Amino acid sequence: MKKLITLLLSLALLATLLAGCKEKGKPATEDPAVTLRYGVTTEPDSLDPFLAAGADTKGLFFNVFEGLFKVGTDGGLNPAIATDYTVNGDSTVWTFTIRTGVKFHNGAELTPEDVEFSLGKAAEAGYYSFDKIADVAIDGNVVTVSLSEPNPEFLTVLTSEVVPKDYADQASAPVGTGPYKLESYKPQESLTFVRNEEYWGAEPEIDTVVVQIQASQTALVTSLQSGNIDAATVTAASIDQLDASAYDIVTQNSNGPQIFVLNNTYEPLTDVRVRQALNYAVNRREIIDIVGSGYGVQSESPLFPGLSKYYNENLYDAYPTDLETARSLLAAAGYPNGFDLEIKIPSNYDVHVQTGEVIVSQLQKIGVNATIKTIDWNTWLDDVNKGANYQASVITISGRSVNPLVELKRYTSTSSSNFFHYTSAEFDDVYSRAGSELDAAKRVSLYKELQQIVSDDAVSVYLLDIAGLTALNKSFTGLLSYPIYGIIDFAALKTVG
Amino acid sequence: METKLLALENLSIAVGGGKNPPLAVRGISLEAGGGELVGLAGESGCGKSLTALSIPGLLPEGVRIAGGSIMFGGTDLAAESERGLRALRGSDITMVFQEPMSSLNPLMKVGSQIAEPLRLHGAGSRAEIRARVLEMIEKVELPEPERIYKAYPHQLSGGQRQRVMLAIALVCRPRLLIADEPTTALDAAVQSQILELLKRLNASLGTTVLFISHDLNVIRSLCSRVYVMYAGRICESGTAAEIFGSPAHEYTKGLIASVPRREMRGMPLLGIPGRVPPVEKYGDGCPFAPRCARRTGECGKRFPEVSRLSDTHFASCYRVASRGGEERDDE
Amino acid sequence: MTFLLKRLAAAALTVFLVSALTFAAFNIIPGDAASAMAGADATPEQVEQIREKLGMNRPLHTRYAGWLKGFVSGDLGDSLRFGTPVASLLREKLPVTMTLAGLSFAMILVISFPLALLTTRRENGITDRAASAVTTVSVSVPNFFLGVLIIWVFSLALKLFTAGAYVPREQSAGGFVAYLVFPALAVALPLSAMVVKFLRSAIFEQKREAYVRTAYSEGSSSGRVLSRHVLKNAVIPTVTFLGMIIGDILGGSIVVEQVFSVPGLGRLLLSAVNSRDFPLLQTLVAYVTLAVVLANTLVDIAISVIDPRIRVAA
Repeated sequence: MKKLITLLLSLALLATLLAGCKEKGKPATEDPAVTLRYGVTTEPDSLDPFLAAGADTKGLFFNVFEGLFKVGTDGGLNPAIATDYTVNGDSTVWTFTIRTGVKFHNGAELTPEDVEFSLGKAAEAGYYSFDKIADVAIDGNVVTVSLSEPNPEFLTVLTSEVVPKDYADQASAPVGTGPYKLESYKPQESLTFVRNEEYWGAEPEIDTVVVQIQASQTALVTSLQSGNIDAATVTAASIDQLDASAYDIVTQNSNGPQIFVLNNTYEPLTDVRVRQALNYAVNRREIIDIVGSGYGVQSESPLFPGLSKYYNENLYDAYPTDLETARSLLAAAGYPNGFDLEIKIPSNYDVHVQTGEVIVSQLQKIGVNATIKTIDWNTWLDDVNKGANYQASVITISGRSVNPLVELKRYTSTSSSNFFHYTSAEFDDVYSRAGSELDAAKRVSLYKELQQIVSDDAVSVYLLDIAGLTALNKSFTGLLSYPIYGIIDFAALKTVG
Repeated sequence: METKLLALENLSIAVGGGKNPPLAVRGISLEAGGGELVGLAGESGCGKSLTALSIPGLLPEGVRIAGGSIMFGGTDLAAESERGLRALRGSDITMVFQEPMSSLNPLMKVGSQIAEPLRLHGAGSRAEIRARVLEMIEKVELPEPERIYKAYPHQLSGGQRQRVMLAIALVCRPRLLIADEPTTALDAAVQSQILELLKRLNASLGTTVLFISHDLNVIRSLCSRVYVMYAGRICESGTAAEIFGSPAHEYTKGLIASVPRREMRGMPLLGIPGRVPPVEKYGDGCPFAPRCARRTGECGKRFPEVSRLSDTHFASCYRVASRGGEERDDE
Repeated sequence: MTFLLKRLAAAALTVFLVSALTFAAFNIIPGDAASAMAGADATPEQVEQIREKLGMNRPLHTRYAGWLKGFVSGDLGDSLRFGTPVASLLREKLPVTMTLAGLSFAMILVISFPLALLTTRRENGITDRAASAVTTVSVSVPNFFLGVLIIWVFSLALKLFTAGAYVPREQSAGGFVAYLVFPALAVALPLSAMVVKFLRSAIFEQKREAYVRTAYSEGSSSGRVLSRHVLKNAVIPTVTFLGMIIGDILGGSIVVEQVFSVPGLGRLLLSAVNSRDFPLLQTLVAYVTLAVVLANTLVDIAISVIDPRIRVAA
C-alpha cells in the first residue's frame, strides 16, 4: 500500500517536471513581420509624457512622441513637426512653419492649435525656460512664439512633446506622432510598440518592438544567453558570459558624467584645497580598469564628451593623479593627517557602489579614511538630492537636454538642484552672460569657460563617462548613440542581410 | 497429559544489544489452555509484560527472545515468521492492554476499530462485518450498540473504552486472550465490572485467558491457576486455592502478606524488605535470595530445580526441595 | 455559521490593524512616491507637480482615511506609480501568483509526504538519520540561491526551459503553467524540507502512542499501521504548519519572482515599497493579510474535519 502511494506520487512529480520542460523561448517570430525584443530592468514611470520624469522612460518614448525638433546623434537638432524656423535679431521672437499631413496615432490630423496646446502643457509641467514664453500666435500653419527675455538656445527646448489637444488619456493610452505607437503596456511585464503605418517620415523597418521588463540585471543576462531577448544593455563584467558569435557589443557614450559628489558645506570640504587634493588622489584610470573592465572614457568636466559641440577638451585629464600634491594640499589646508569621510551611495546602482569601493582604497593613500554607506534610492533622494544630509556620494547625472545651460544650471547658487551646495559669484556671472549672448561662437566659449570654473573650483571629483554597452543580436544592426536620456531609436534599427 | 494450547518452555528474553545482553526473563515455563483463566502475578518490572508481548511477537525494538520455545497449538511461535505471526495476531491470539484512554485511535469511530481485526483477517462483506461488530458491542455489555458504533473514543469513559478493547480482542473469537493489567488504570467500581465481564466472556466464548497483574486481589478473584514471577523467574505455580491457601515460596508468602485487607485496618502495612535488583544484576542464582529470610548457601549460586508439591502445585526453592518435594523432571 | 461570522470579524479587524501599522510605517521611512517617480534629475517643481496631481499633499491620515473608505466600498484607487487602477493590477497579477502558489503547494505535498513516509521506518535507523541530515541542510539553503541553481541546471545546462521567458497566460495557458514549474520548484524545495522534518517528527511521535500497539496486536502490518492509523494523526499538527506555508506563498514569493522574472504580486509588492506607492501597497498588504487569515481559517476547518475531538458543535 505504501509502495503504491510512493509510486503514484513519484510519477506525479515526474509528470509535473516534464510538463515544465516545454518549448524553449522561440527566437523572433516566424511571421513575415519582424519583431525585436529589447530587455530592460526599469519600469516606465508614467506613460504621460508630461508626467514622466525618468530618463529611461523618456528614452523609450522618444519613439512615440516628437517635438517641433528632434535631437540628433551629435547633439544637434533636426526638424520634426516644424519644417523650418526663423528668429529675430535679439532671439526673442521665434517663428515656426508647421509640417502638413502629420497624423496622430489616433488618426487625428495635426494642427497648429495642437502645437499651441502642447507648448502650454510643457509650460505647466515646468519644462526648462517655458516660463519665459510670453505669447503664442497662430497664422495659417505658422506658429509664432514670443519670449519675455532673449534665449539664443530656445530651439533646444523645443524637443518637448506635441500631443493632440482634445485627448485626455495620455496616462493610459499615449498618443503622439512618432514612428512607433504604444500598443500595450503590462506593468512589470512588457511594453509593445508597433510601427506607425502613417508616419510622416521614413518608415521604419522593424514592425514590432517588444520591450520586456526583467526583474534584475542577472535576469537580463540570462535572457540574452538563452536567446529570449535580442538586445539589452549589459555591464562590462557580463560580456564574457555572452556568446560572441551571437551578439555584437555596441559601445555608446553615456549621457552624463559619473561624479564623486562632494558636499561643499561639509567641514573639510568647504576648503577648495581639500577638494582639489581629493581630485589629485583619485585615479580615474584605475576605476575604468577595475569597475568598467577597461570600458569608459576619463572625463573631468561637469558636461560629457557626448555633447561634443560644447565639451571643453582641456578637461579630459584636469587633475592627473599625483599623491604628493594631494598630501601637500591637505596639509596646507590644515589636515596633515587626513580626515574621515562618509560616502552615501544608492544601493541599486552596482556601478556606483563598486566605484565607491575603489575610491575608498585610493583615498587611504592620502590618509583620508572613507567609508561607504549604501542606502535605498528613496533615502538617497531625500538625503543627498533634496537635503544636505550627506558628506559625499557617487552618482551619474544623466543629460536631459542638448542645451549646456540646462545641464550647468545646477551649479548656479540659486538653483534648487544644486545639491553640491556650491556658490560662486564668478560662475553665476558667466552663466547669466552665456544665457544672453547672441553670438553662437561666443556662447560656446562661455560654456567652456563655465566648465573650467567648475573644474578649477573642484566642486566635486569628476570621474568618467561610463561606457554604455548594449548587446545586440547579430541579426540586427543600427543601434545609434544619443547624447541625452537613454534614447533607444527603434526607427534606426534594421535586420541584417 | 493433554497438550495445552499454550506452552512456554524455558523461555528467555534478552534486552539490549551486544554480545551478552542481560536477560530480563530467564528460562520460564508456563502453560494455559482449555478455556482456563490463568494468572501471571508479580511486581512491576519482573518481566511479566515482556513475557506477554513475546507470545504474539510484539516485543519492542531491541528486545528479543534469547532461548526456549513458545508452543501455540503445535507451532513454535518463537521460530515463526513475521507474516505467520501477523496471521495469528488479532484472530487467534489477541491482547488487551493497560491504558484504555490511549489505546484507541482518537480519529477513528469505535465501530470501525472493532471491525479492524475482522477486515484484516478476511471476514466477509461490509454488512456482515457490521453485524458482527454490533453483536460484539452487545456482548461486552455496552448499551445502545448503534450509538457506540458511531461514537469516537473521546466520547466514551475509561470503563467503556476498556469494554471496546475487549470487543476488539474477542471479535474474531481467538483461542487465546492475553490481558496485561487491563484494569489497573480504572477505578475500583469499574474495575470489578470489567473483571466480571471478563469472567462471563471467558465462560460464554471459551477463550483461554492469560491474565497478568501485580494486584493479587484481582488475580485471586478471577483466576483458577496462578504463576508467580519474580525478577524474570517463575518462583511458584499452582491453583488459586493452593497459592493463596498454602503458599510455598518465601516470595509468594511475602507478597500475599503485604496485600492490605480489611482485617488489617489500623495496623502497619507489611512489605518485603529490600528491593528488586536491576536486570543486569539478576545473576545465576535465585534472584530473591538477597531478600529472603530463609536463604541458604546454595541459593545464590544456582537457581533451584522445580519441586513438585502436588499435581498442580510447584515451586522453585531449596527450602521446599529439602522439605521433601519430589524433583520434577525437566521436559 | 457563527464560527464563520466570528472569523470574518476577526479577519476584518486584522486587516484594519495591519493596514494602520503600514500607514504608520510609511510615515516614518524617508522618501515619497513623487520623488521616487520623478527621479534624481527632476526639478523640484516637477516633483511638486506630480504631488499635486496625485493628491499627495493632503496629510497622511486624510489619505489613509480616504483609502480606507474606498477600500471598504470596493474602490481601490489608482496606483501612484503605474497610473493604472489598483484593481486592474491586482486582477492581472493575482492569477500568476495563485498559479505559482498552487504549483508550489502541490509540489510540496508530492515531495514531502512520500519522503516522510519512506524515512520513518525505524527511528534512528540509517534512513532516519540520513533524512534528518539532508533536511537540515536543505532548510538552510536560501531560495534565491536555489533559484539561481535551478536556472543554471535546468535552463542553461539542460536547456529544459528558458529563464526569463515568462509566457503570459493569454499567449499560451500551457506555456504559462510550464514556465512557472521551475520557480515553483525553487519555492517548493526548501519548504518541502521543512514539511518533511515536521511530518517525520510528528510520525515518530505518533508511533510511540498506545493505539499503535493495539493496531499491531490486531495483526496490522507496519505499512498499514502507518497509512491507516499513524498518518492521519500525524497530519494534524502538520496541517497547521502547512497553513502557515500557504499563507506565505499566497503572499507572493518576492525573491523567486525576482530571480525568474515572474510578474506576480511579490514583484509588485517590492515595486510598491520601493516607489512608496501608498494605495497599491495598502491594498497589497490587505490582500496578504487576508490570504494569511484565510489560510489559517482553512487550516482550522481542515483540522476540525480530521479531528473529531475538536469539532465545532454543529
